[in-house]
Formats: sequence, structure tokens, C-alpha cells
Amino acid sequence: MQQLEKLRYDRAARVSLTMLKKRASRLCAVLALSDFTFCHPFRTMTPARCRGIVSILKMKAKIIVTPKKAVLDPQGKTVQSALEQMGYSGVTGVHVGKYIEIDLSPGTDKEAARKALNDAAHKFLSNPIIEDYKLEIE
Amino acid sequence: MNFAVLQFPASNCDQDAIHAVRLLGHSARYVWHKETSLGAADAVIVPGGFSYGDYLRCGAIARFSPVMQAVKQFADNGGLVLGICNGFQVLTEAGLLPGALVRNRDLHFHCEHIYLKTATADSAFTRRIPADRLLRIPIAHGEGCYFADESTLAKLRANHQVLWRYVNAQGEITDAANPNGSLDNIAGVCNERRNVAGLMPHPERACEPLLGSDDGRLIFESLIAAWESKSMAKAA
Repeated sequence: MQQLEKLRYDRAARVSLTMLKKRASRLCAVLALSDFTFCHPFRTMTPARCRGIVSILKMKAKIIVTPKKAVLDPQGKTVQSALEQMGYSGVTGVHVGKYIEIDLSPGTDKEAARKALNDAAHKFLSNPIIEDYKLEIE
Repeated sequence: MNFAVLQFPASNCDQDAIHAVRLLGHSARYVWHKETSLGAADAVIVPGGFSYGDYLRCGAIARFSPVMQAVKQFADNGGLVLGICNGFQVLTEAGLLPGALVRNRDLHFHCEHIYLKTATADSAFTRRIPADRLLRIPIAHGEGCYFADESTLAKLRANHQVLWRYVNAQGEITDAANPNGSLDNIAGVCNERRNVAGLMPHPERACEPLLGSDDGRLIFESLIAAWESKSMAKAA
């Protein structure tokens, strides 16, 4: 009888642990934090968990560079025709650009970073003659 | 005449440029990209290759190298600067030449001989090229499609800044003769002051008959003639 109780308890614990893990992995996906390590909440802070918390404090800038509409984009055209050949209908345009991710030190002033990165994006990370860019800081 | 030939990490036509200049009886030396001075240079060649691995965009990183600050100053003082292939890309990125070079329209790397028609003899880079003479010169690039917005193009045409266009063997400007999709078949341009020029084809690879063509000599001979007349004017 005692053994049966223990079995039941273990099973329930396993189920709740699985659910917690699922929720945590969903949270990770939302936050897009690849190095966020899930830890059981009842355990003490592990080094992995510390890293996870630090990674939340970190700031990231994301810059998306796309070719200007007036510029020939043969890559985009080729990808578009490949999509059509594969049967993906309803695609009216494809533009292939670049994605640049920049890690910023924790606690960086967001507005100052935005100003500096806009300058860098205009001068260096994109070429305004042929490209547009979008900057996001999170 | 002393030529300075820049060397970036992954430049690969620097030796060809030096060879061509020496073949014409003039002196040339390498200038490493970390140098901050060009020394006693009479003209600068920014050679072809894949400077900094073509990372980010062709020429985008090279333009910020220390030597490019010296080149900018040299050009601002009226010095003669010729950019070939990747060198052309570096000069557009640096803002020394108008426009930009993007991926060839067919996405292929083109390595072949093409024909060039010289649009004007009124430049230090074309003055020795007879008006009706087509130049048969090789190209070797993946990102040579010249682009500039409408107003820049109109300005280029009005100021006769387009120096060379891709043509067929008969000298006609046709779409079939355009190897990369360049606007208006543009193969090379110069700045408003006409002392800085860039082109995608490689004249330094066409300076001796053994290589299949020596038409490229005309571009270097033009440069040399321009410098000689300039130094004669100075002396007088």
C-alpha cells in the first residue's frame, strides 16, 4: 500500500515537472534566449540559472538591412521563383537582406545606444544608396 | 612616375597592377592598408580582389582602413586615383565615386573578356584612347552591377562622368553586351573633378599581347600622359 502511494506521488511530481519544463521552454522561445537554462524552481541557484538571469539583463540591438525597392534584387527574385516552383502560392515578392545582432553591455542607455547605432547603420552597416535598415533595441 | 598600389587583406590584383605599371616603364610600390601615408606617390591604384573577404558589403570595411584616409586626402588635393574592380567598390563605398555596385543580375560570377566603349576622352583616364577604339578587357566579378538613383544618373550624364560602357564587338550598347545588369551599361565612372575613376574590368590584366589583349595599356598611358602634362604645367 505504501509502495503504491509513493508510486502515485512520484507520477504526479513527474507530470507537474514536465508541465513546468514545457512552460519554461515556451517562455524561452518567446524571449528568444538561447542560453537561458531551465532549472527546477525548488533547487537552489545553479551557475546555469545565474547565466540565465544575466542573459535577461543583457541588451541586444537588432538591425535588419534590406535592398531598396529600386535596386535589382536577383537573390529575392530567385528565392521567389523557387517558392513558386515548390507550390507555395500567393507570394508576391521576396527581398533578401541581412540581419545583424549586436550585444550591448547590461545597463546601456537605450536612447544613447539608439543614436550611436543609427549613426553606425547609416555610415557602415548599411549603404543608404542601395539599402534600407530597421533598428530595434531590446 | 610613382604609383602607390594599395594592399588590403585579400587584395589579389595588386601584383598585376604593379607588373602593368613597371611594364610601362614607371615605378610602383605596395602600400599596406595600415599605413597612414602614401609617401611620394603621383597616382594611387586601388586594386581588385576581395578586401576583408567582402564581408558585410564589397569594400565596406576597406574604406575605413587607415590608408583610405590618406587616399581621401590625396584625392581632395587633386591626386589621380584609379580603382579597379574591388578597388572601384571601395571608392564608391568611401564616397569618392558616385553610385554603388551590387550583385550581378544573373547571380553568376563573370570571368570573361568584354568590350568597352569609351564615352569621353575628357579625363585623365581616357585621354589617350582614340574615340572609335573599342577596348577588349577581361572582367572577373560577382558584384559589378552599377546602381545609382535617377538624380545621380542624370548628373553623371550631364557632367560626362560615365567613362566606359559595356558594348558588343560592333560597339553597340545592347542589353546582351551588359554582363551584370549595370544601369545604362556603365562599366566605369569618374568623380565630378575628374581625378578619381573606377571601373569593374581589369585593364592591368590586358597590358601585353601574351595575355590576349594589350588594350588596357591605353588607360594607364592616359594616366601617365595626364600626370606628365600636369607636372609640365607646374614646371612652366
